[in-house]
Amino acid sequence: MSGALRYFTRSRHESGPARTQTPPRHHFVATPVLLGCLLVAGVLAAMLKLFVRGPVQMSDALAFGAVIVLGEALRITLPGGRDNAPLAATAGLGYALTTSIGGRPAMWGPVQVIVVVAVAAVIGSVPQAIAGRPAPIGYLVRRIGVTGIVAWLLRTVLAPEIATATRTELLLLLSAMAILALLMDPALAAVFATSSGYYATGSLLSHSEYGDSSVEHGRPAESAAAPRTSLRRLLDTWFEECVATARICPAVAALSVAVALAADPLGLWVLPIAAAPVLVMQRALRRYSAIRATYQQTIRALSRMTDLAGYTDPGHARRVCRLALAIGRDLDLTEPELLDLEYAALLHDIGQLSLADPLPGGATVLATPWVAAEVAARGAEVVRETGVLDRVARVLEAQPLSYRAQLAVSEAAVGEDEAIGDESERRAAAILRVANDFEDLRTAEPGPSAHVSALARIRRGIGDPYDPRAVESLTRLVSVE
Amino acid sequence: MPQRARYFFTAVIAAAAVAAACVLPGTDWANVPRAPFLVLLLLQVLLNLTIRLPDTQESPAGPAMVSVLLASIVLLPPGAAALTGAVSSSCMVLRRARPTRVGFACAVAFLAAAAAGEVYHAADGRTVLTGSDFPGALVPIGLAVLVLSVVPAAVIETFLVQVGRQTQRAALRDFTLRMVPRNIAYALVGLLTAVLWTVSYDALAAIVLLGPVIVTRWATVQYEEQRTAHDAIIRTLVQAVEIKDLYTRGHSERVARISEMIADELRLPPERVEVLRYAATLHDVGKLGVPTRLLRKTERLDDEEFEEIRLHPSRGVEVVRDIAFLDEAYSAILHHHERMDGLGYPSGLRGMRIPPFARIIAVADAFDSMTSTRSYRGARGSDEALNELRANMGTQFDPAIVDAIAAALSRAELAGRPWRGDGTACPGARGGQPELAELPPGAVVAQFDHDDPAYQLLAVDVEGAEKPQTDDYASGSEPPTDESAEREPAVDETSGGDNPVPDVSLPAATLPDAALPDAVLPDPVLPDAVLPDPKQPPAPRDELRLAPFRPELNLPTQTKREPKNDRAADRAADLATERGTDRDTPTNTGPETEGR
Repeated sequence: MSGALRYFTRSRHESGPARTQTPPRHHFVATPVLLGCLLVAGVLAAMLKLFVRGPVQMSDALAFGAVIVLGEALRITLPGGRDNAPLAATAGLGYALTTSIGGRPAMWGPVQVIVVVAVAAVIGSVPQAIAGRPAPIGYLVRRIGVTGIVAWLLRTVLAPEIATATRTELLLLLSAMAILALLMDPALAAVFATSSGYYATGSLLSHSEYGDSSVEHGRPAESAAAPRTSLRRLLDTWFEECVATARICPAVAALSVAVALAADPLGLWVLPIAAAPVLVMQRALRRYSAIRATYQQTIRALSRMTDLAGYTDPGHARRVCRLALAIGRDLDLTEPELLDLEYAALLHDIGQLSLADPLPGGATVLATPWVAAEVAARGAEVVRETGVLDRVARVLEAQPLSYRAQLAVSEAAVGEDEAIGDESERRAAAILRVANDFEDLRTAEPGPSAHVSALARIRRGIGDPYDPRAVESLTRLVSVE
Repeated sequence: MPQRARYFFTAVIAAAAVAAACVLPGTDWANVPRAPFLVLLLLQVLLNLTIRLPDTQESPAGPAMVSVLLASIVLLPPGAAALTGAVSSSCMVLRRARPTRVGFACAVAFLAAAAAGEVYHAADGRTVLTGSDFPGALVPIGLAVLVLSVVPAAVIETFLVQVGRQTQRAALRDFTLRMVPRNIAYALVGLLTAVLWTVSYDALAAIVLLGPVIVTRWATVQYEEQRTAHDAIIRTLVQAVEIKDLYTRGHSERVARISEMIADELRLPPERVEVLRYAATLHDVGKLGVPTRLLRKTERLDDEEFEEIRLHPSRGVEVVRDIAFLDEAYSAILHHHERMDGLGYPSGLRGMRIPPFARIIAVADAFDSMTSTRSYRGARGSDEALNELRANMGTQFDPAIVDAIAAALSRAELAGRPWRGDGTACPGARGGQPELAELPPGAVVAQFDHDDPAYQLLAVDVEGAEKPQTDDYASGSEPPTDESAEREPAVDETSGGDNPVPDVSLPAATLPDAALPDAVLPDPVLPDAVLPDPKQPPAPRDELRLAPFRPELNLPTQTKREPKNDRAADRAADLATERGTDRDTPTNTGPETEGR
């Protein structure tokens, strides 16, 4: 079954008021807190144990700890709001995996690994915290937890095997450990996806300055677009995290295995030798995420051009963007889809610049369909001219089409392979349409219950101009009085 | 490809052939370890097949290759290492690179690897590394890395300098600041590989080598894509703004290009040039807020309508103020209509208090306006426009920057890329009107251009004539609804006695800024400087033409690097180093950026 068909059939089955019932979400929010507490308790216990037993090979511990501190101090935030510290991860995992260093066996146990990594991570986070970017708790839990589990497995459970392993076996064992870490890290990240990341669920409506408090206050806080409590959702997020980190984390894992193995002949010299390429890698990553952030800022800033020219209400594009993103998250759009949706929402009124006179109130919903289509087509033309936002241009183009028309388009396209890729664009267009029209209607008739009447009007259009799923999501987000 | 480059290519390839003839027979091929040779060769082939084909800027033995080559140098005899480099470089043929390029790349890779290998072994480098060898083992490795960086860099930079695509200074800076640190880091990956190899973890060694290389390359490619996208979106959206007015199409982009040329002439560092380019591209974004009826109007505008136009810099800043990296660009956008004599808007800054970028954009802006066709006149040639700029030097434009644009234009002409304006100006003729059939729906034919120096002077003169002495731009530019303008009076307080207009009629000596004593003579206040009608061809205005050309106005540029002239040195620092204007005055970032 093609993606398009699946999407639309599912939406048909699931539409209707029964869908608004959402399961309680309290315990899911509690999971990260629970994990955090567990970690703190574990670290404290480990410190106590280490204090009683006494640390071994202090100079090695200090050297690795110093590199971890440095790496944490250079922590970067990758696109998508993911925190990452490749250098700290390499050194930490390397410390956990090292079985002999400079020709001597590495005697430290998992307890010491946990303490070194935890202390160094906390110390390294201080400069960033001072600069106003405190390390998210989820990030620390991931870093310390994963390293701790790997260290425990290798240094306690597998200790007898390590002692007798040949070189090849050792390589395989360490690689297996690194791969385990590679899979565990995104899993923990998926659990914490509620509390970190730009596109993480719930970060929008609950934290943002959504201009009009009517939406925010209208609903109980804990239902703020929290994730569905299904295992499937968790698996999806896990997979998404794996894909998003598919470039960086394998390199880090391979390097940490290399550190562990090369520590035997090289001793502590392995640290500077391995750190240099990681730093170069990190620099390239930092540059990338910086330009990416700038790019988003630019689009956000330029979305204000229509306000400036008097075509739209001040802040209209941003409000539509926030609402569209909230709906998109509620409907489980993937991260690239959300990015397209964001850009499309920000730029959706650019086409109005070509109108001789502003539409009344800038509201395309009140304009004749012909004008709305013209605005959309012009906007798509402008966006397409950039040569880099083709998908966004197609979303803009599809936006004025009614849901029914889109359905027809997608059904006609079933069977053609190239149409499958367009499904997400049509979905984004449907969401954008609902968000934009809701915003337009809400601002067109200001008043305390503006959003209620706007919602009522939108709901009347379920199925014909509007996508039922998007409207249901909007209802969930907005109503609940 | 120029003839010289061809000769150079041939020479390099010949040198490599000679080196091969010396090195290859001397290698003991029977004792070359097979596994490292094959795996490293394979890795290099892989890299060569996957990298972006290096433009000539990039060394063929680019950063990623350095790591593999270093591993080869440690593990293999020099001849074998060099052979892996040369053979793998020849794989570029599969990617349809030009044969000369491939030959050149092979030659450079061979020369670099052979030289580095010889140096490594001459410096008593070992093929088996253990911890006890350190840090002594770092010496031959360091030497090998140095040679491995220097040889390709020298060859390629020489080529680039010869072709004229890069100056020697830039080449040297590029080499020391960018290539060497990067090469050292990559070489360390190669070192790690070599070490792992010697303790017989062959497979892992290859993975270790590839990991950071792949990630870095991926991030770099992403970075470049995003950068291109960023440029493209700014350009396109600015074009979307210009679509309404046929005559200003491409204006922003041309201003950006001229500003860049000026900045290159002033030798600004590349990062600042980039910010300047963005500032120049976005300088007129605020014009979007000017009602189209004003653009259409053929009669003289009244005060309120002037205010609308005067507001466009502030509005532009409002659009871009959330773009964090543009920092220095805000003040440039805000003040690009300031004049050296303090009669500009929005703040009436004078002389060196105008941010340097704003001064550059002002000149570029006026120059492009004059060399483009407008509804009320044809385009002028660049010489004529330059003369006009010179005539307004000191009053409206910074002489140093006018000189820079003149130098940049003549340099461009020498290089065979003369400035063509918007393409309508032809030398000798007056240029033609663009075809009105091209007008898009909803387009406006502006009846004036606020960037045109003639028009600007007109605006200033009207003000000067109607409200002598007491005119106050800041309070006058206060529309009741605009929140940015509501903060204007505060600016007046911070700027203290800098409120320019009352000063205009005072003797120049009393002006706080003594940099341009001659420049601030109240030339524009002369009533006959008013143009009777903007629709008239604004060609040679006699007062300005006949005004004695004062060579001393050139002083700041000529003495720019002489420390004895404090003020001139100040200005040089102003332009070339940091945002010197900040320490001069708190106002030059403007009211709109204060709240950031």
